[in-house]
Amino acid sequence: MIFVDIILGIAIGFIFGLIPNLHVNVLGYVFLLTSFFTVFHDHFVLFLCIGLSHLITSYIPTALFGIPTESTIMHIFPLLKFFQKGESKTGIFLCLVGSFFGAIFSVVFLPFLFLLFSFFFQIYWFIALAILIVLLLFIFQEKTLRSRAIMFFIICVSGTLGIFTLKYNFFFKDPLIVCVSGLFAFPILIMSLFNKESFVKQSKSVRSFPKRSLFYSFVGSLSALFIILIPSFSSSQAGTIVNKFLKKLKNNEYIVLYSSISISAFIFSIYLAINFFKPRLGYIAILQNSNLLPSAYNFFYDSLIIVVCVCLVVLLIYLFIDKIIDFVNSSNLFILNIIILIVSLAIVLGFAGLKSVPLLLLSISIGFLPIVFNKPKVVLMAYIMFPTLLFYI
Amino acid sequence: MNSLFFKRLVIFVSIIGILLLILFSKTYVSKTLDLTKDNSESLEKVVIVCGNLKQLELKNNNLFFKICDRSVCLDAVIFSISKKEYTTLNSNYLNYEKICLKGKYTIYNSEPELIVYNFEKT
Repeated sequence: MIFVDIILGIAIGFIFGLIPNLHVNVLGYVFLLTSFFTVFHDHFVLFLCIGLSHLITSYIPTALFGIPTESTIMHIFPLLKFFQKGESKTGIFLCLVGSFFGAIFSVVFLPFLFLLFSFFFQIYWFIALAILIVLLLFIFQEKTLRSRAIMFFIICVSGTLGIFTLKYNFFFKDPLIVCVSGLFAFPILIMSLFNKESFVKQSKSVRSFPKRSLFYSFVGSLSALFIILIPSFSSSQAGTIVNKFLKKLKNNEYIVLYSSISISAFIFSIYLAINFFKPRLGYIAILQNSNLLPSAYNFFYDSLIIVVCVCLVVLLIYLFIDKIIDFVNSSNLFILNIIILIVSLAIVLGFAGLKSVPLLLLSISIGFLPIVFNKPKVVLMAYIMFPTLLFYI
Repeated sequence: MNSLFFKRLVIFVSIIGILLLILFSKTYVSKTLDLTKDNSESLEKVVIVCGNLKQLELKNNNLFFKICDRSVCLDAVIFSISKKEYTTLNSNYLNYEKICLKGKYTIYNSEPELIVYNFEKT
């Protein structure tokens, strides 16, 4: 039965992971609303594999679909540079390398996570201080006073949006989906429609692998170990911070690091949810609220399932990637982007209702701020960080 | 996308939108719930519930308790409660004084629950 759950989970995660902009949290909501959780009650392994498979597969649409050229999203996630050179396959393979080694390192780090979390999670000032430091880092990493003022403005606007939708929500249903889509996904999609040069034929060969992939996967997993202690921190923020310490990582090194952080954060979040009832990711929080998590984390059994699942997902992507690239090469990217935009809009409005349209428009407008000012989009994470900061002060 | 007009539009919409959101949130008039009646229409809305407090339990800086109107009670939670707020509520509880809570009426673990935004003594 376990093998059926693993295979089914990988297949479902793979299919949904190929849909651009379909975040794993949205997938969790879909499962919740369609009673999928009720039908597959006591199938933790199935949902674990769906999450892992979705996480790794979602690098494919990120790398292959027409996201705009030279926008600041690349400061967070440099897959687009591979896309522009027609080397998306290399980018995807780097993600697979980071995910594979990241998963192995994170399993090894789980006992350390237990010790760290036992010590730190009651120290509220530590969490609040860490969030404050990152917010200040966003501002003071800019060199000119004008740039700092712009960063401060974006932080204040997105943070205020977070406070009045997440902490004090008077009007909106499911504001998180609406705002996250509006802040992060829709501005990119809309930009891609106006970018006529976004179609590049993608090569099927793979090159430029970093020599120290293992090292960057290790560093990624290690940094996720600390980042996961702080609620509201994302993999992008972790990547940005680590980048500051390692000084100017190359694109390929950064992708390995980022992928390692992402998968490690997912695995650590599962562990924290089971052992401490502290899920750090939305999808896992949904699993927890639906009583799908086991009562205890079985270190050897659950870790083995994680590693097997990651290996199979990597294999699956390896087998299908050329066919997917052929499909993208033969498609009209403009039409694809319009379809993605319509599907994304339908998902958001389907969940949140038409009443959320003003909120969506406001979020999209705020989501455009870093783009028009040419600032890193990760600063929009203030949307989550402000309410979290209020929680811990 | 970098045109001056678009930049100004984005800034204008962001500022005005945020100000309107704050204004509407601050001036929102909440309905007062009667716990003895069916309140399913008020689910996921911000409401006011008045009554007496019972079973206060502080866990990880979050206060879990019940607010009761005679024998009918509703679960409530205040996330990240401050020391001052806790002292006020605790004295209210000890003195069996009536209090009004404002917060989001929602469902948690298949039971109705109030996520408290703020409160005032009556």
